[in-house]
Amino acid sequence: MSHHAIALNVNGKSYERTVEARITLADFLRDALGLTGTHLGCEHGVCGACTVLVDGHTARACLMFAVQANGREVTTVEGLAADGMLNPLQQAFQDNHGLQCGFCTPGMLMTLTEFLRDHRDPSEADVRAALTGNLCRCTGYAGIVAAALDAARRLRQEG
Amino acid sequence: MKPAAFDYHAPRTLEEAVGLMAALDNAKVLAGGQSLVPMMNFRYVIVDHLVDLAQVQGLRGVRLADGALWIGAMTSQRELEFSAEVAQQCPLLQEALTHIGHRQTRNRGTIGGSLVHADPAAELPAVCAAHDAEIEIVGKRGQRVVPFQEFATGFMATIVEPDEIVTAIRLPLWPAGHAHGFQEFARRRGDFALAGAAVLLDVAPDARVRRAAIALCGVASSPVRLRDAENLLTANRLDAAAIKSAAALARDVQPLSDIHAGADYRRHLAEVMTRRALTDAARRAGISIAMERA
Amino acid sequence: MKIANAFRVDLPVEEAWTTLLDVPSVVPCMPGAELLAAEDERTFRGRMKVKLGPVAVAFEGRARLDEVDAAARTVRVKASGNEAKGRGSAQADVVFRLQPDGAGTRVDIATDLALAGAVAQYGRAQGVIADSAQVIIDAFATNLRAKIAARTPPAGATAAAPSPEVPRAPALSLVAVLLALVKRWFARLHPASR
Repeated sequence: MSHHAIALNVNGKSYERTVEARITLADFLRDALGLTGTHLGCEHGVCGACTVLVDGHTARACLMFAVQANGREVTTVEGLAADGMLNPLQQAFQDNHGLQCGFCTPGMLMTLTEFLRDHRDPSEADVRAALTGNLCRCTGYAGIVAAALDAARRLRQEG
Repeated sequence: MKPAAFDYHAPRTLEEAVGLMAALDNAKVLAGGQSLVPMMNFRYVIVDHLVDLAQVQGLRGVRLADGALWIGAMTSQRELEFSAEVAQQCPLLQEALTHIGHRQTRNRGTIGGSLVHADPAAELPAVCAAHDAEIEIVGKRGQRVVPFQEFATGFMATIVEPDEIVTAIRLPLWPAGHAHGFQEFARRRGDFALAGAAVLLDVAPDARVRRAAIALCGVASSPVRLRDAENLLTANRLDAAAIKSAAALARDVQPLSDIHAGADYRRHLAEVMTRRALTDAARRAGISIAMERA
Repeated sequence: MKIANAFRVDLPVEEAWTTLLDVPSVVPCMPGAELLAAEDERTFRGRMKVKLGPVAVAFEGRARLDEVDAAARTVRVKASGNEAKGRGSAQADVVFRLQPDGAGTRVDIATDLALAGAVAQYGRAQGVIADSAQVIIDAFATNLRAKIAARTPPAGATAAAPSPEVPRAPALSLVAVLLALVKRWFARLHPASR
């Protein structure tokens, strides 16, 4: 099996590592970099718990190999808060009871980060459609949708 | 689960990529990975080599060429979904793309990958069937162009040889202002379609159909063109009755039966999706059709 | 899972019978098959590679000619094997029956196939495995006919007829098999264009 030297940027920090070809980006982030916020729910691309941003666009980290992230910029849930302060989206989740067990939450946050960046005034239907690739077993989605709409409002107010 | 061990290759040129596929045993091309990697994680697919096309020049992009839309095989579904050229020239493709998986899937999934994977329920093969697409394939022996009808050969099988790589898809254009419709039924948004219909109509100002193309996905190993329904519509006035009669011919398909849907249900869905897609197309052509409750 | 297939060869039934029973000689005609060893007259160890869409599986195991009824021209073969990469196993109970068909022979094959493990899920869509089986059988028949034709020296020939290419049976994809069939079918219909 081949090994490859990779260099990538994760949450603004540069890393250089050597990886086995078959290690997924998800496992690399969790095991090699200790960033365990990215969760593994299904490992076949349906639950969305492993969602991260690669060069600004959401990707299922369980369906990418670490070697494919060579030269890329990856953002994980650990990269959302700045200086220990929850960002508006995270704060909206806290205020709207957008999580219970928290397992799906990192994926939800990354998906919504991309979505709200591209849609400043979404309807509830828009939000629900955007979240079809992220499954939650606890909340029934109501709190998550409320949090997303609340976050959109906060982000609009921020200007 | 985790995939079995393999060697990873990242060629930079098409020649290098073809050379690798020709020389390596038990090798597969890696495009977007949205269909292949889940199978590798399950160890349904066990490869000794993965040849990643991400860095190969010349496999991405959308451009007009000789009355067709030329699309590089490695173009992401996301890029196509937001392409102004696609929206204008092949609105059927644009609409079909919105039904593929989820945002994360489309960000990395490619049009070439979807066609070669050839899932019976996939949307892009149906669009290619409706458009009579041509597929550019490059291998050891050079380039060949294959009509989509010959490209899909059976259940998740295509005409692509082990040493070959799909490099581009050509979608022959329909006249400016042509009508289209795409409808699919799945239990949840983003799930595999149980049945879907892709429709192209060229309708004259007097509501006569100059040309029709109807392709179904999810009802057979590969997309099915409803030739009889197309013939029924052509040269006749497009109205609710014509749509109903054409859609009824969708029941002639012999659908697969699996845990998601039985053959009878798929046959029913084939008719309903065809009728809805034709109705959408008719409305886009400026003909008002009262929507039946079904 | 019960699968029924059939094929035809241009040999009188007695000759077809002896030809088919010569297992080491006919195995190369089966796409994807490889004979590893003959344990005795009736038991053989071998490998069978099959490609179902993106999934390539290889079974390794044993086939035994369990019942050989020369009078009824029926053979029952019991085969079982494990998938090489741990994806399950297969057991097949196959009955071959030969009957005269005009000047040639018709071979009917009734297979009772049991799959276990991961491979059992591949044929999730009804008919996929049965269709694949027919494609393989058709390829086998084509290769067998070519082999038989090569055996029969053309009238008046003095040199040995060159043996036509009998595919060495690397795992043929179903596509390659289908293409070969289409080409041969056309060749038969349009001999002038051969």
